[in-house]
Amino acid sequence: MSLLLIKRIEVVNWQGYYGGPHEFDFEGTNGRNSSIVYADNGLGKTALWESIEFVLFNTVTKKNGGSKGLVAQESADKPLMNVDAFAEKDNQYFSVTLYFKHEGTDYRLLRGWYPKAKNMSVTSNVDLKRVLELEDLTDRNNPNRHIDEKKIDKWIDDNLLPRKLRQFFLFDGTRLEEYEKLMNPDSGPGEELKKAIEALIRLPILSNGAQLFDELDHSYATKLGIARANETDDKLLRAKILECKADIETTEKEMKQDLDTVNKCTKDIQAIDDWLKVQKPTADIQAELERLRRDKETQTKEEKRLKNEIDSLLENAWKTILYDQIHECQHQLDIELRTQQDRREKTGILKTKLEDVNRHLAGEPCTLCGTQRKPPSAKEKKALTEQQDGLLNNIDKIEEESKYPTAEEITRRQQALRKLVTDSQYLNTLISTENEREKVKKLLKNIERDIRIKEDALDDDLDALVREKKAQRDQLIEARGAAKTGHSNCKVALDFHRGVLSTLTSTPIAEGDSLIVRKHTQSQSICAALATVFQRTTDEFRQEVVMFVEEEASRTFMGVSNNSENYSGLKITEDFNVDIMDKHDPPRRDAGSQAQSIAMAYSMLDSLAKCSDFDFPMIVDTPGRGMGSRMAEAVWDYFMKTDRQVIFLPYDKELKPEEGDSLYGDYLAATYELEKVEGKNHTEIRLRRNNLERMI
Amino acid sequence: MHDNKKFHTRNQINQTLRKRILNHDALKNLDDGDLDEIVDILFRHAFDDHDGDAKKNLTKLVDQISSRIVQGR
Repeated sequence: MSLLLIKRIEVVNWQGYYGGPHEFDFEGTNGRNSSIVYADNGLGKTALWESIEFVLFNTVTKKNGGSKGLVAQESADKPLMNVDAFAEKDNQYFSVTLYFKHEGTDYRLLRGWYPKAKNMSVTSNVDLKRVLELEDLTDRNNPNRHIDEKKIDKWIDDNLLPRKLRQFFLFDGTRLEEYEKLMNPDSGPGEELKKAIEALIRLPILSNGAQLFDELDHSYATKLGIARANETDDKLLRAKILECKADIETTEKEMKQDLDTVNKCTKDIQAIDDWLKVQKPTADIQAELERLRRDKETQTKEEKRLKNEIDSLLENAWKTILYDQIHECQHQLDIELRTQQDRREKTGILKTKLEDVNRHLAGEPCTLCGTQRKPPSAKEKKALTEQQDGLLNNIDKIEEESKYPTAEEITRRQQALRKLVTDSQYLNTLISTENEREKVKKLLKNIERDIRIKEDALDDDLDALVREKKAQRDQLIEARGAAKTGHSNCKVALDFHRGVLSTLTSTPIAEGDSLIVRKHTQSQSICAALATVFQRTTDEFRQEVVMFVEEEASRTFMGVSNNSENYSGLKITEDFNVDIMDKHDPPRRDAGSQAQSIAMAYSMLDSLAKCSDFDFPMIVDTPGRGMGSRMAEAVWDYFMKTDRQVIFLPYDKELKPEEGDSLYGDYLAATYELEKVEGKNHTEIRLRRNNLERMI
Repeated sequence: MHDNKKFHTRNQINQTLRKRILNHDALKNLDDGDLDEIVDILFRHAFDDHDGDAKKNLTKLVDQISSRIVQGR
């Protein structure tokens, strides 16, 4: 059960809610205090969510920074006062009333803006006055009313919820995505978020303490130095102390300037980031255009390269015309080669045969088989001689035929033809290159068409503005980097000067030392000791809280994640980087889908809220953003069944009324559906409280 | 309208600091009132955007404590 319980909200002439009071009751029976407010986009869901921020902090923060204006004339966005009410002279006011129980006491908090005088016509913010009332309803017949605005605001900030911590309790689905930065420390600074987390766990009480006492320690060291310089007779020592003091002051001044620059740049960068986030559609188109233009550049270069290649191929392309003739020549040459070979073989055979005839004539043995032969007879001699003549004629004839072309010439021809055949391949290369170029040209045409479409979709003014902001951001990052370097350098110099001063002045307290020297020595000693105590406590406290958050967040994550069987929990580092751990042994970091990141964000928000001092309900606009239906179901299921008061404001695609009432009705105090009704002269939003009595 | 000063975290911080301060030789002359005031100042400094006086207030407090110690009160 929350220590702070929102029981009812009443809005009058608030944003889209004309007239009123429009009442939302969130107090149920048997401890059921959670609620769901269903509505299509634009029907007052966010306005209701914003009414809580307004009634507590007198402002409604816009997503891109700054606050929403009170009336239409003063605001480019939707103003806080209903536009139709503003148009009616007697209806120019608006208010939000919050009924809540805190620490067992019932309160009524009303915040609104009314005309400064009766019967006056309001034309702008200046014609309105703020009304703030806080009533302690312990005695309902005689409520204790407070109207001191400063006191009420401070009481809210100290006791209900500090304004700077509201993001942990009142948030929307978009805000959850910021927590992905905790998982990817390289993807974005996330510094603002980490600072806010540290604020939530009260770490600044300790870390600021350590820093402030450290500064005071040095400040007293300087004061002590001056006191000693004033009291010493040693002129040289005095001069040295004063010189050192001047150096310290100059360096401190420079450090402050650098720090101011760093802070200013960070603030400006954050403002630009917030603004760019709102301009995301434009930024997305620009990013797409940049990608397309890069693609166009790459493809244009490729097209040019292919064109040059084609030009170079064309120089040799004529050879391709002779392709058939070259092949024919090659063929003829091959035949010639084979013929020459045949002739050589034939000549060899004839010569062997001739040698054998010669041997036979001389009565020598057979050349082939070595058989002894008788000397030929006259008749045989005649026949052998005729055969000898015939063979010689044939050999001469074949040799005559083989003279041209010579072997060298055939080789030369072969080489020349082979070269021509190789060159003829240019045609194939040329054709494939030309095809490739055509493809690139087609691609380029498509890219150019896409560029034109994107350019048409881009608002020129906004385009220029987004570019300008991005350029500004780059400059700021550069300036911040330079200032950080300057600050680090100054810090080294400052430590040096302080060391010198300490050496010059750290004389033990002596009998004759003045009261002021004693006092500064004492102060310095106290501050140095406190700085150490605070620093050590900061470190230990941080570790304790991180352990607590890790344990709580892991438990919630395992309850919320729709894939918990694969995870072992969350791992949180001391500077609040978060990893989702899978079930390997040992567990290792899992990249996690966007849905798991959002489950992680919910787990972190819930556990951080638990370890803060503020027991405030969780009020979430579009709570299912970025999640699939399974994960969203797991989230509803987990939070609707916890003891903490939860008010979810989903739009129809996230959770349908009949589905939500059927699944979670048993755990809820009430559910509401917002409907827009077209009136005669204005638009009003009507509420329909769903009948949950049957379940209660 | 009653103040809820029973903050768990704040108490935890207070108690841890108190224990450490009491055990520190250089801080043995600080009393509970001093500590409460230090935490009050730092609490405001941490959560109130408009409180730029933390250093000034702490200096004033340390001066008072030192005067008290030096004068033997």
